[in-house]
Amino acid sequence: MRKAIGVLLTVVVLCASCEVEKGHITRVIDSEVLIYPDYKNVVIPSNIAPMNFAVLGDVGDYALQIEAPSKTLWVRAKNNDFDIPLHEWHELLADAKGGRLTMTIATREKDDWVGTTPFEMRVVSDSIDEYITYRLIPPGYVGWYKMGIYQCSLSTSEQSVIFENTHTHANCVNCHTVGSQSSSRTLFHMRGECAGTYLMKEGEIARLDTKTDSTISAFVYPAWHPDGRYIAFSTNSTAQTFHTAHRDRIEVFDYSSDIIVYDTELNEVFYSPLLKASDCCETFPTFSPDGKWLYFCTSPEVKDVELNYSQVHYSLCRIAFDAERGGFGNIVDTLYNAEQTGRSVSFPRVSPDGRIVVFVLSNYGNFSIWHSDADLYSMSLDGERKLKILDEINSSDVESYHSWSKNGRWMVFSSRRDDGLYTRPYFAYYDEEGKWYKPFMLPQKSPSQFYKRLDMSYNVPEFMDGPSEFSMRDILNVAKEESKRVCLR
Amino acid sequence: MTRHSSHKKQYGLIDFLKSWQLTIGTVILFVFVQICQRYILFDMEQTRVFVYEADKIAAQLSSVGGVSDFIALWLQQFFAISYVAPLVVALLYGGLTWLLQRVCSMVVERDLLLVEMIISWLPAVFLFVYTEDKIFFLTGHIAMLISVLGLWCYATCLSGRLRPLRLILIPLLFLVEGFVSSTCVWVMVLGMMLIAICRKEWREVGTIVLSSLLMLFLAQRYCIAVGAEELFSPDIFTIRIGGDATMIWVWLSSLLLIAIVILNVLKDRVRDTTISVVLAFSIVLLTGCFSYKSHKIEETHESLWLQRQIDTGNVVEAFKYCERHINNLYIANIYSYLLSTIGRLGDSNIFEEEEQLIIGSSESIIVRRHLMTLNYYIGYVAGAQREAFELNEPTEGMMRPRALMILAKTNIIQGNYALADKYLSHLKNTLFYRSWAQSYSRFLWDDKAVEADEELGSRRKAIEIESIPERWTAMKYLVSQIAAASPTLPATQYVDAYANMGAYDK
Repeated sequence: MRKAIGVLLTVVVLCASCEVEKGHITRVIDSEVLIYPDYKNVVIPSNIAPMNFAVLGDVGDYALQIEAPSKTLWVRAKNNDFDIPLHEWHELLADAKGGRLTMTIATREKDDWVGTTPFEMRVVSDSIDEYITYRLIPPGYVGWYKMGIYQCSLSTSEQSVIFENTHTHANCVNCHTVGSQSSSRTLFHMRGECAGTYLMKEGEIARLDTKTDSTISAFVYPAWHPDGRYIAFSTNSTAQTFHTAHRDRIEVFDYSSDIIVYDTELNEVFYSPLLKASDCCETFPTFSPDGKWLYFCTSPEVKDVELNYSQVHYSLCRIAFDAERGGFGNIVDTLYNAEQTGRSVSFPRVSPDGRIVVFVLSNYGNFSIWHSDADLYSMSLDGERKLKILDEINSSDVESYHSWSKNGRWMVFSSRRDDGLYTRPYFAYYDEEGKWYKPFMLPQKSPSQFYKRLDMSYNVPEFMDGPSEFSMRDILNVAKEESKRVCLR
Repeated sequence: MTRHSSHKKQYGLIDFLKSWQLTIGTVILFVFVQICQRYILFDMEQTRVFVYEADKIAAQLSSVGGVSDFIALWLQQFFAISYVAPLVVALLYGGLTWLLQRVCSMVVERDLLLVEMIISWLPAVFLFVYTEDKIFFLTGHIAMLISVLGLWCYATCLSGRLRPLRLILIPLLFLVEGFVSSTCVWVMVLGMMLIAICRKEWREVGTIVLSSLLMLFLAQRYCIAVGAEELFSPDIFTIRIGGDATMIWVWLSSLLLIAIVILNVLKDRVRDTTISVVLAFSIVLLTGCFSYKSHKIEETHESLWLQRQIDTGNVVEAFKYCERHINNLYIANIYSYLLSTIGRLGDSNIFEEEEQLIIGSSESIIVRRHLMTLNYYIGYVAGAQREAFELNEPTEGMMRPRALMILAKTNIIQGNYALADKYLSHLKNTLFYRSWAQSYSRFLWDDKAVEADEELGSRRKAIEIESIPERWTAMKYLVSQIAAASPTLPATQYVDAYANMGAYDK
């Protein structure tokens, strides 16, 4: 009996060892295998999480051979998903830094592994910020059950909560924004219960009541000044309507909007009349990396906008900003004139080196996430102001909210290319010569299952240099307190 | 003969009732639930379907209250079959009461039925005070069952040779109860204290108080650690048990109370009877105070009944029902739908106002559900999709089966196959909707198959209409556009009905 058990155990151990045994490809055939996400020939940073992917099609016996200059890794697929071990992956990345990883998917034919046409991933030495933050939200219109603001480690794909609305009666939380990609400067808004702007700066949290008598609404779209003292916000009166038969299901528009700047040290709001024009809607502020310019979008107010929403076109402008005295210049400089081109600008973001501004261009309006024609464009900020469509990273579906990494070599942006509705974050490399490369989707474990089962959109992705300094409990404690009312200068 | 007589004497009517009260109560509960609650139970199945996905199950089990939620959801999937829902509820409460009686019999040495009732009422009163009456989930029932099971374990330990084991059992129960439901931790504490008080074991009461404080503290820390802390009260104090549990509990306990009153009268125990009657009145009063039988709920019942009739293809019965009750716009909405299915909408002069044919969108779940069905039926694909989306999104887990079915179908019609595949893949992981999802998978990335299909093809033609912001267009114009684009769709009948009312300008 004991002998039989011993034999059985040996067989089990041997079988188990077969599973982990390193395989090798006996021959390679010229055959393309489709994978999800499409990571073929992408450019990746040297500190990214395992680029797991799945073979599309019927479930089969697949293996993946990853070759770095001096290391090779063999991974077997489970239900067509290749989940690459974290430690071994980072060793490969370190080995291939500045070079390439060659990936060969092999299929089993009797006792042989037959390789298919290999593809590569270029590993650049420019690292990516340690974290991204985003809101996860069902892409609905009126109701939701749960939403929250989360952070994800880009080197492990591990997600953790910054704040979830399950503790504040399913209220709306939005616009989590990071100042200069620093985890010590963040903010977000809560609507409904415990409403306010939660400002988390240099180890302290403050809950702000941001509606004043002379502003349209509470603070909406934020942008940190690089020195961390000032934050520009738009204030908007927004509405939505639904299409009866259109690829873009919904229209969101502003009846009116202005831009103000909040001084975090003096707790006061100030503005320029040029950013609060009665016949214009100003929105989506952003500062230049040197802090000397405030970029924004502006459109003349359109009468009966709920019917004439397609006539709304936002131009890209900028105004000088003096951080020393907290004031504005007297001239508005128009960089992209929407009246002349008939298209509309949203979400301008200046690169950290100040060379270009990247923005979303769509046929009309400003809520580009619901416009399938929305694409990313760049404009040089030299004298030429050369406009360029970013063909390398755009798709036939929506590209929208984007932000830069600290070193200016990476950009994360939202796209609906995956299924047309659920927004996913993509990362694109931008080299020193100003060239863009094929983007890749946020890596996850068993991605084909993960993304198919995730009924939430990634909203407002932003880079962050470390994990959030505050726990949800810290935020909840502040939520219990009275909010601090902002004053008007 | 003598033996037979003594046997007969031993099992008289009172003893018979006493022995069989639980079975009789369970059967009556089944009938009661089948008649009065089945649409609410049907709504449970419609609210959230159990999905066999490992990551979803793991996430569910690891959350506070996740165990009872998991069991409840698993059971709820069978509510798709008629009679299963009332049977599950009746058996659950039958088992619950039986367990409670076992606990009482272990604690009270003499025949103290009144004490038994007070104990059995404890959770009900507790629920009355704190529950939200608008929640209808089975989770509370399961959590309560596990609570009583815990009390039974405790009473067993306390009564027998296993007594020292209670020192391990108490923290263990707290741990299990914490996972089952935070509410049940409180029920457990009160129940255990009552058991100890009944046995006049005062040191034991002290032990429970101290243990419970320690365990509650630890449970609270756990809640904080897993991010399950509520804002203004820690999660451990939060009530998660549904209103229907309260109702059924009250109903069953009332039955038992009436039985006790009768038994006491027969036994000439006047004092006990008086107390029982006073208790019964208090309970009735409480029931009245917290009952959810409001006008809105009546409408919910009515709508759910109609919805189920339509779903099961029993349109004629629903139609007859409607003929008697066109008392609100929701019902009128369904009525127009029913008339249309039998081809009588166009020649009907019942509707006087345009709004009676199709009412506008609303944030109400009931209206959304009807509009989703109606919009899809007439061929307004974008409207059906929006209502399905808005119906599904605010629901925990976002797994309303019929909403997912409409989302899958409308996305197939629109050619959004990747999206349709996503919704179908959810349904493929369920027990009762798997075959439906598999049958619709054949349309994915196959335009010809979609166009050849009568249901989907006719609606695909209907999306080729001029898009107008919905807020600024009347339904009468929208249906006329749909009817013109795809004349075989029921929208044509609506056009006729609008025309009969003189809704269109000449």
